[in-house]
Amino acid sequence: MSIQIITEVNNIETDENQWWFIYNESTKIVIIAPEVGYVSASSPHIMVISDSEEELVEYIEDSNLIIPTSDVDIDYLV
Amino acid sequence: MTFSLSIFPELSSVTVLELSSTATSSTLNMNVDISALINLEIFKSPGNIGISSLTNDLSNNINLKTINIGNCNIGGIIPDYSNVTTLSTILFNDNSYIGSIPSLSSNTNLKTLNIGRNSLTGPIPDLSNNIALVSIIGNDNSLSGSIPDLSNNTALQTFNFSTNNISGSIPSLSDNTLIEYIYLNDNNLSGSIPALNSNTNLYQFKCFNNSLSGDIPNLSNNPNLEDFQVNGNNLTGSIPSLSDNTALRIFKYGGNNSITGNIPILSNNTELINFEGFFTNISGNIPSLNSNTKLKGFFHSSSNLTGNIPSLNNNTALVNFVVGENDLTGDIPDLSNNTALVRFEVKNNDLTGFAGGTVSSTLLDFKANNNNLSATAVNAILAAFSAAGGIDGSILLQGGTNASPTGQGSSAKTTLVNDRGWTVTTN
Repeated sequence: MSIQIITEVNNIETDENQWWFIYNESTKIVIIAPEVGYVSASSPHIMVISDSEEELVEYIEDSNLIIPTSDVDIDYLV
Repeated sequence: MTFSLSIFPELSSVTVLELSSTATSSTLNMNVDISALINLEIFKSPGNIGISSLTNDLSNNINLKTINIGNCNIGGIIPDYSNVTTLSTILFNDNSYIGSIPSLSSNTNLKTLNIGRNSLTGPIPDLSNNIALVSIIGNDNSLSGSIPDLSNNTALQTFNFSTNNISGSIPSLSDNTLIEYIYLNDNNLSGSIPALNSNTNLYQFKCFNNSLSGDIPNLSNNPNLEDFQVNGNNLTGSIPSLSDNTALRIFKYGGNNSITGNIPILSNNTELINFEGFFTNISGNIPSLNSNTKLKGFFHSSSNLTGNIPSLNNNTALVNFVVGENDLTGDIPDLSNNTALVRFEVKNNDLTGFAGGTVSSTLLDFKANNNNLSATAVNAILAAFSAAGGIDGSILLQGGTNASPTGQGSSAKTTLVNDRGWTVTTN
């Protein structure tokens, strides 16, 4: 199955084997990094679904999306 | 423009010269000739006042004690000051110096050397004759080789060579009993961390992002220690007791380390702000955090933690609480008092419930996906966020055996998405 780009994310459901992520079109920031498995997602942002993680990674790179390195960039705390 | 003081012969008696300007460097761009000042003891031109070169590099000013040309955009090779044995302070930081650091063996009165943030290469020179040395700073260069023996530098308080290409091991610090700051992060250091039990004045020890191995040393003789960062190494063993480190603010040991054992008791660490140990083999329970009222960040994802998440009622300064990908059980704690909380991540555990209470409108990143949360818990979480009034956040509750929202939970999900711009994922 080819990649699906969903702009109206209202209780969108995935299959157990599908990969998906959600990003903000305005900021290009990935809100939920690629996950696999069933989800019922609702969001004002863009949801991208594919059967392969690689396809999502390629989409993220080609679209110049930003995945926050939130586990690392924590020095602002102090 | 050449700015020459040689036209004033009487200036040969000048002992102190300080150049300063309110103009910018681009408008001046001076070549400064100070060769007439043969008795100069102190030369200061800190800050970028527009000196692009010194006609006289001062290496023959045998009375010179202080030379401060930090942040002056000066380049070239660092002059050889081996004849200027009176020198006690050299500040060449934040310039464009290239080449290696000259020998300092004749500069037995040298107390302070700052050559940080240049483009220097080669090794750190032998420091065995610099017995007066208090502070040596050479961070953010491209220095290589190993750290020289420091056993003669008994007055040393600051040793900063972070962000270079230094390899080899960290030498013994047992004779550096006055040392306060050790920064060696972002190098290629290997071997073990030396014993720190003699360094009773130590405030900060930063050796993150190296290839250090072995155990974290005993820290019970470091009562002033406030910042200890050894994350991103190959360390093994357990975390030492921190009960004597009552000044501790930052403790980071995660990254690539293979630390085992339990998180130590933190009840004496009342100044603690950031405690970080993700991607380790740490196991056991999360200790009580009741005493850590200043805690802002607690990061222990991707470890082997078990048991319940402790009460966070006293952690009113908490901003980030990240313990995903462990084996935690029980309830998500009441977050009513965590009014500064921005991120709460407990994904990929075995949590079953939610203790209830409110959540702060600041909490915009909540991940509890891949758990075993009941419908009651899922509904209560969504209702709490709906009531909080925050906007544009995200709640992840899908995966694992988390229940699907029903009734109040479904309504809350709709409100959050349609009215507040949230992203909500559920089963």
